[in-house]
Amino acid sequence: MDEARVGRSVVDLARDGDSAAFESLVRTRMDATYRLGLAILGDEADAADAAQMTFVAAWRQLPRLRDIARFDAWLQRVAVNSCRTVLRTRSRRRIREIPMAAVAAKERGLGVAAPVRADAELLRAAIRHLSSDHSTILALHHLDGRPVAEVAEILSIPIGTAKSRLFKARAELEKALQKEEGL
Amino acid sequence: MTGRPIQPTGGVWDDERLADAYCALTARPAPADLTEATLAATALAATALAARREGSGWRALVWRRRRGPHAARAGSFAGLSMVAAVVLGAGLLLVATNGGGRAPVGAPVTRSGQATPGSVVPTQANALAVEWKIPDSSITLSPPGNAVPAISRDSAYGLCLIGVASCAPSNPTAIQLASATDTGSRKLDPSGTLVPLMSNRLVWAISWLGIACPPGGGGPATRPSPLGANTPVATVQPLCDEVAFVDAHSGAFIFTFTGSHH
Repeated sequence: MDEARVGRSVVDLARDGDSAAFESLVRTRMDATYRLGLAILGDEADAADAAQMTFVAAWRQLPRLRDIARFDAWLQRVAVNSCRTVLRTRSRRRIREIPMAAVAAKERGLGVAAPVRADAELLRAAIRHLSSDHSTILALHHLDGRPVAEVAEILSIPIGTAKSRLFKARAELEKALQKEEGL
Repeated sequence: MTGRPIQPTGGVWDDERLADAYCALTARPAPADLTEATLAATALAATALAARREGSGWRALVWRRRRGPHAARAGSFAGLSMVAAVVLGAGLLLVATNGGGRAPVGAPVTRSGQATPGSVVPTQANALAVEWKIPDSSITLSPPGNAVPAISRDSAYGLCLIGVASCAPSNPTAIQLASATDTGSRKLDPSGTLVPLMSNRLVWAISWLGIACPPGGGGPATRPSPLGANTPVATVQPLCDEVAFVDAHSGAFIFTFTGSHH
């Protein structure tokens, strides 16, 4: 078994059904996947659901991945689809709004300046007013500074479409932020 | 929002402010137990898939219903006679129902090079001659080399006749010895480790090509009528390919794959 593993990437092994290799992928990609879900969904529980859904779907679909070099982009696409599924589920649930800003400052000692944390809570509230397409493209572009071409690839859309969608999403977000700020 | 104790940074929401806010919003690791819960969910999903393919899931129930007459006969004298006839190979003729002619591209071809549809299945063992990657699946069948099966082909097909294996009701297109590997399904061994269900496993692959799809068992999606549910729409009967796998050493039925006809 070890000889068979020599020289093969973890993704390659996982694609062939190596559960230990897949576990390694889950452990190394979980935080990033969770963060992406949080940026799109703005809710910890939903982000956890989406992250779990992402890896279960990835385990099932991985044998169909042709180019293992594009694994991360592929995984992000799976994560985006999982977030959309969670959003559809959420739209059927009753949402209880909890003012987060008050608890955020007390509970999170994450080394983030207080005004920025307040911005983050504004952003969280604003995200919930956006369509899934808009919250997704904003998260992909602004969370890790991905270029538009990369975002377009993850979403499987032309670059021009990504640019125009990003422009509209940004406008929608600014309106939502102003509403949250009470401007 | 109410009761906001800390003021935002203020100013315009430019790229920098937005990026900082996104970082702050997501500046936390995933919950500690999420990774373990996800790994457990992945293993459960794999086990459920394997169980379904082993024949203990919903699909096996569908097939038992479809194949009621066969299953009902399993314990009867007539059924036992049929099994005996199969095992002894006494004049068994299996006439395929798909008509004569060449097998489609990618379809199993016997070592003699003959396409099997429409032919009488000979009693001697037929081994797969060229690799067959079953479309829309993670299953690859390879020529078995010099491997010798412990059970005969007729005994393998006998599992279809007595309702042990999940099989199409018509006669098969081919029954071939092959080395099977499925990268997409695995099962839990007694130690709790996930192991491949088929990894170079010597099998009898019993295939049906271009048959009517079983209910809920695959084939292309159908579209609803754009004019409403009560408007009749001309539909084309979807066709499927099925391959049932029987372990050629132990004689155990493994699972049946169903997919769109190619």
